[in-house]
Amino acid sequence: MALRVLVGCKRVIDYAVKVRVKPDKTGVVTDGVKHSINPFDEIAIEEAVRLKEKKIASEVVAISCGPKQCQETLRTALAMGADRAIHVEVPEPQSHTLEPLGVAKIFSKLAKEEDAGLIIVGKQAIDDDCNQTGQITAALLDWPQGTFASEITVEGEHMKVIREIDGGLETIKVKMPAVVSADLRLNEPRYATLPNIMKAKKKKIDVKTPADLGVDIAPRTEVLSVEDPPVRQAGSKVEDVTELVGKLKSHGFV
Amino acid sequence: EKMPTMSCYGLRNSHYTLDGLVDKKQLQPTLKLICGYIASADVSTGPAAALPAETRSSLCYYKYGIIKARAYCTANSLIRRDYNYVNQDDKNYFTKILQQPSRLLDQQHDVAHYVTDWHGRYHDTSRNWNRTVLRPTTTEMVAAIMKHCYKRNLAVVPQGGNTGLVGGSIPVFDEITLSTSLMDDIIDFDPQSGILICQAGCILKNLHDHVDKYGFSMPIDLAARGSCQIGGNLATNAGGIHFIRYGPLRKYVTGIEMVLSNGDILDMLSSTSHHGPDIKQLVIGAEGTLAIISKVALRCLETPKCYSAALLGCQSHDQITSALIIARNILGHTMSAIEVMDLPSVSLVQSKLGLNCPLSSHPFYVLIETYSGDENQNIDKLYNILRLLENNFGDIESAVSLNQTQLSQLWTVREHITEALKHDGHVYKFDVSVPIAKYFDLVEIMRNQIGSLTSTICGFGHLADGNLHLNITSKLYDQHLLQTIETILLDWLVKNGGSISAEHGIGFNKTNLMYASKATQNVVTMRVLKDYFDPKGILNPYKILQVEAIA
Repeated sequence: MALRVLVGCKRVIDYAVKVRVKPDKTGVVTDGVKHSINPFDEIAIEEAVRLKEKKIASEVVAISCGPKQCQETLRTALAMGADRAIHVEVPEPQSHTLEPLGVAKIFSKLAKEEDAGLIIVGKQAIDDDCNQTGQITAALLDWPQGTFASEITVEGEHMKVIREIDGGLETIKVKMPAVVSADLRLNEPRYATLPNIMKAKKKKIDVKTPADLGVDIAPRTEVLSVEDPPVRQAGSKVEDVTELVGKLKSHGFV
Repeated sequence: EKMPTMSCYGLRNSHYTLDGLVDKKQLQPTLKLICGYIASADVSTGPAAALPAETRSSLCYYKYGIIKARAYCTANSLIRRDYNYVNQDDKNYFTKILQQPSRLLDQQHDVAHYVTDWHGRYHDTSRNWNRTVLRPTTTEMVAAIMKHCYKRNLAVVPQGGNTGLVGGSIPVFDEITLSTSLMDDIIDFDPQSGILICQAGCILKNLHDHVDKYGFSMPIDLAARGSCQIGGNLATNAGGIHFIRYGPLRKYVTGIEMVLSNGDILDMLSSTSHHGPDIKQLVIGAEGTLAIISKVALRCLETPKCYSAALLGCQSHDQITSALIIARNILGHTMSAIEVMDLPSVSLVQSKLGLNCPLSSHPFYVLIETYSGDENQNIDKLYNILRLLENNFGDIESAVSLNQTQLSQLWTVREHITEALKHDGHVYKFDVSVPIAKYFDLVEIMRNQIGSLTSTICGFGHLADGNLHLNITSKLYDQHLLQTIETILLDWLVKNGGSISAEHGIGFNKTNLMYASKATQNVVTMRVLKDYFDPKGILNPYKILQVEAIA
């Protein structure tokens, strides 16, 4: 059973970095700031590689859309065990206006071209928190979707997906080909080993453009402004209960 | 009943001598009084008799009206020196200085966490004493407090974050605890020169976050960074994980403002004078026994663009030393940290704290951290290290950080070992300098000799500095076990060359070990300095230097 798995990997500002808003309020500062693979996409790659190790998947292809630096993100995916990668090049500043709809169109086109049987993406990206790409991709392909997956089991032509929902866990069965979006507890991603990182340097990264795929990635929304959350009013520290009561009284709360 | 007018000196776990003038007729009641004052000591008078070492008894003789009493006591018999006791007048005066009643604490539940060390142990002699904690906010308050304490002969323990591991920052008896926690003002940071000026009570992590905004780093980093204060870091001359790259903290001190035991303020904060002997360096590493550090000026360094780390699983001691040599060769001064830990340390973190190690089980783990302009450079260097190591030893399992989050995760296991040990019973903790070629020998020896008496024996630490944290746990505290361990340890250190305290300081727990590994003249000179700076002996007594026995 030749199951080819496509995995979406977005290059985002590193989770550990303190994000700063640009003074002109058009976005956040990205120049010179550390970027890395979206943590949920890392989990997606890990799941795909595990499927390959279990001999359920035959090939794992990592995909990233964005500027040249996305190839670093793809190298991470390759170091974790993906077989090859596709970089859909969208140069800056266009990449900043790339929306889930555009990405979903790219993924669905590639899914058909690559004859994929499964697409795994992270449930959302930590920069825009959209949580839309997986769902839109499934709709465009008319494939079933298992979103917020915390466990997936392939059973022949079907896949059992345990989903994290507000009330707890929901188990569904979907027919493949399908789209899965990975939630936090799906797995714990592996660290790359040094030899694998070196091997990854030799793996293939195909570069395409949205035009090659015939996809229109023009944005449908316009960002008006990006601002810091309002500054919290400074509280005042009191040194003992007497002072606390005094302050409560003087502010008219008691 | 008042203590008779005698000077008493005490050595922990050893014998002590009392000297004084007592009327013949008063001998019996005096001795009874003294020995009643000392926990569990028997008194018997009579002609000189040979006393077995274990026996707690006293030998008295008198000659020409001068009574010399010598009592032999074993463990837990440190005597409180003749300081005055804090009274209500003192407390009123302190409250006036501190301007807020809540800055003086004396209720048991309020002082509890100030007077307990990080391990949760009180000092042996501590339980029944009344404690006072003072929390000043400015240097002037500290000075006024010390002036009063000097006049009144009250002992003071300066305390920062209270994260020390040798009992150096808590009172032994009823010494006043002077906490710098409220002295947490960052006064200035100049991005041109990288000089940071702040009060001694600033928490290390807060300082790091502040200078990080300008692209700078603090020249010291340790796991306790969220609680430890810079004054304490200086007073203990702390090492830390980046010691190998930055070197000792002293290098970066450009100024210190300190308060002396009599309340005088010694302001050496500005860095413009480079001539004359550097007095401010004396107080670094003195653990609060010479003066109280109130303000600090430090030079910070520009933060490198990118740190990366690799965790390697090693099978033998040879592999570890090879890893160090190869890493040094390839990384040179860009090696920012190299840490090693053994399997028991890692297993403990996994079992007690549920934190996973990225690698499978190996006898040893080496964590190498490097920095440069970008990740690829780092990875290339780390890969070269691995390749050279594998040439000699075959396949080696590795895990590499590809982003900042993974970097902190790789450090997680190493930084949680101390906490995991806390959950394993009583911890006998040693921080020793050893020759690198013999890094784990002590751990092996301990395992052979006392393995059956203990729960866990593990070793980890800063490999390149030869700094081993040897940790042994047992279900309950066992005095004999401690003595056995210390004997084996000192024996080995003397034979093989090393130090009994690489970076944790001496504090209270290791005063008895200091004589064994420092030349006598060193210690004598330390004593002279101490007597000069603190003639009344009121600053952090019973710490670092044992009191001298009168021969």
